[in-house]
Amino acid sequence: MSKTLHRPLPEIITRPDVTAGEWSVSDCAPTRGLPHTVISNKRLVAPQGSDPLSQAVRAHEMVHIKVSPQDYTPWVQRGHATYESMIACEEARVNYLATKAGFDMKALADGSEKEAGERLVANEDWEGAVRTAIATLGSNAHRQFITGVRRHNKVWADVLADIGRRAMRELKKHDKRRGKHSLASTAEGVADFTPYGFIYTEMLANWVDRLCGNNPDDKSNDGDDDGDSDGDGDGGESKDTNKGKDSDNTRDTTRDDKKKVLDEYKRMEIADTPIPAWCDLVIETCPMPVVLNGSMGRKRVASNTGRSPRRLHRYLTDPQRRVFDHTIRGKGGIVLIDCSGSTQITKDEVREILVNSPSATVVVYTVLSFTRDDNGELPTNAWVLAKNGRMVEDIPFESGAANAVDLPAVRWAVDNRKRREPIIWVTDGGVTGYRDECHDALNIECLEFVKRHGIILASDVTNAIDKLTKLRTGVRPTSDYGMGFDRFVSQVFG
Amino acid sequence: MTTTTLPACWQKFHNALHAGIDRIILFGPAGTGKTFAGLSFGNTAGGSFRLACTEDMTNSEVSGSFMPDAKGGFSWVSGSALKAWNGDNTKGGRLVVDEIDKAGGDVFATLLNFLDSPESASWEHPETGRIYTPRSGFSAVMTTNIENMAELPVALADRFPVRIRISEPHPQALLKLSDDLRGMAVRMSDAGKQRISLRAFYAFDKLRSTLSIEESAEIVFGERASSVLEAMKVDALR
Repeated sequence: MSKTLHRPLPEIITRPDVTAGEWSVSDCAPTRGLPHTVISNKRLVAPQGSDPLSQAVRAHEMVHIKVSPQDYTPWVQRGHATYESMIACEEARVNYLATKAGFDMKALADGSEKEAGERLVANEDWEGAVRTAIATLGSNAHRQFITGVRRHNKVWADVLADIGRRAMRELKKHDKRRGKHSLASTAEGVADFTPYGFIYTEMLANWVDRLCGNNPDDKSNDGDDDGDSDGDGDGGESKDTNKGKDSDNTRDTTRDDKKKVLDEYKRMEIADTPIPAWCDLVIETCPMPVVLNGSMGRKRVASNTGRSPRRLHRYLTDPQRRVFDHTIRGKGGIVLIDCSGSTQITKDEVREILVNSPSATVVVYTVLSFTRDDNGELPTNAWVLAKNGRMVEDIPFESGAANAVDLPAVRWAVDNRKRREPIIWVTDGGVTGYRDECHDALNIECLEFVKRHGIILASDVTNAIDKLTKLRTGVRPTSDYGMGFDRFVSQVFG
Repeated sequence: MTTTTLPACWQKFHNALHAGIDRIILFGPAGTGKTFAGLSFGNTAGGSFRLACTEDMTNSEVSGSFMPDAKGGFSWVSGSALKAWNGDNTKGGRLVVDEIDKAGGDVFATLLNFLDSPESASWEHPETGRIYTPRSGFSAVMTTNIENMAELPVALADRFPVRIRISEPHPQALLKLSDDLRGMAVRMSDAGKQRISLRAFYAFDKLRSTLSIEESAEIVFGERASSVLEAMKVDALR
């Protein structure tokens, strides 16, 4: 008996950024990992059977064709969310929209989800667990996955279930929008990012990335019960995991602990409005004719090992006979200064910084204009004012304007620091994105980045000089968060 | 009054007509309204005359032939090309030639003569010996489904320097469809082997006003009905 094939018709799907034409469509088994869509090449691989799972998978792929971006690169480059989180959240959006279109997406489960949940817990892969929970949202696969997780870690399961509920609430909330700003919108989005509806995926992914960085095991007080976590694989007890033999394998967490962990997660807010993009960083190293007196952070000290004996007199005077030289470097560091109107810097202050940290690199940033030139290039928005003991004669601009490159500038500092040298970021916390638009998510992104890379915040230049002085004496100073960060510090740092 | 932005292909056609181009090839997928456009658009005050070419056609459909008349004799009946040359007897009309590449050798040769530039084109009436030339205002639009213009005979290609690929139905033709089907009809008109004609969408639109959408799809799209309905559900997402 031959199987009746339902060749999907992606050719019918209308969206402005995809031209008409025939698609290359192939059949595949309804197994996770096989069906896929490459919109830019007009290629669709989807099961063509008439069983409920094949129909659900086919609908899922067709919705991708309708609403998903052809290329994730520009979205990744916006820097608000990782590719992996965007992929996971896009799965959730697509499942939601497919259900809305009238398809039975509950059928979208191939039976591998429980094992996947167990495996991720066994590997302590919290990021993978969060993303899988999000990616399976809107289908039976989600429930099965949570069941798998619950077999070995109740805290994770509760948190993941809560994450799923919140993500679904977000999708429903955004689904109330209409027209160009709808959840399924394929209109051209902000700054030429298409399709517009994907901005909601990005907002969700931004939150998911933060969740990924907060493993509940680090928060709960249940200790690390390394008991036998063998789930014995009989799969028949998916509903009740709080009692019976499975409970022996789960971590013994009190209700209060769980509540505490869940409360922690609830404090992490999801962006409510589209997150503005960061402006591209255009950095310029200014001419540095002024040489400061000083050791530039390097000095030679006596050593009892080496190649050229430069201090022979020590042979007689030093009990340890340290006749060789050994060069030690100063801590150096990068001082990054937000010069957007509210914070300014003078030449004397640059000099002061260099006196306190001779080999420091001083970088200032502010976006003076968002207008691109004929070649599509933005004007310089960050300047290296001092480096290796040399500094500029004059500050290259009179007064600052917009922020817009805060995070790109901090990223540059992290990319360019040597051997974990300290980075001091002078900012009032009033970070903004493209066109100087504010958004809570931008503040949170900055603080998350600061937390991840151990960056020291200073509220003004004087404060930064104090911190450099402390660093010189070997004391690590604490950060002073500017006013703009006040609301978000507890959310990020707990 | 509603104004619609013309798709690029149709805009090119309108621009060419507006600029006074009188020999145009419209090519591309079937069912996009090329023939209709040839017959209707631009200055057709002298009348429009259609000539559908097949392998079995004869010159009588091009230039004309003697046909039995009611009096028991034979009288001359002009063919489409000659009628278009004469137009309304004051100015020339529009000759729309469908699928000229399918015409046989002798018909093709006759057509080449009729489609030649006005200075060279002439035809002698076999009975009266009168020499006919195209009246001022005569124009010709050729339509074909072949995609590669290099496949056209050189002599024909030489006579039609302007070739426009019509890839989607004209917006006016789409206005007859319900709003939700228009975008799909445009997409499917240029979908290669998966193509669904505009006429099929017209039929589906009409049927679904009286039958269920499933029944209508079954009647019009046959075994592809479920796929069409699935795609329509997805495409309805806004």
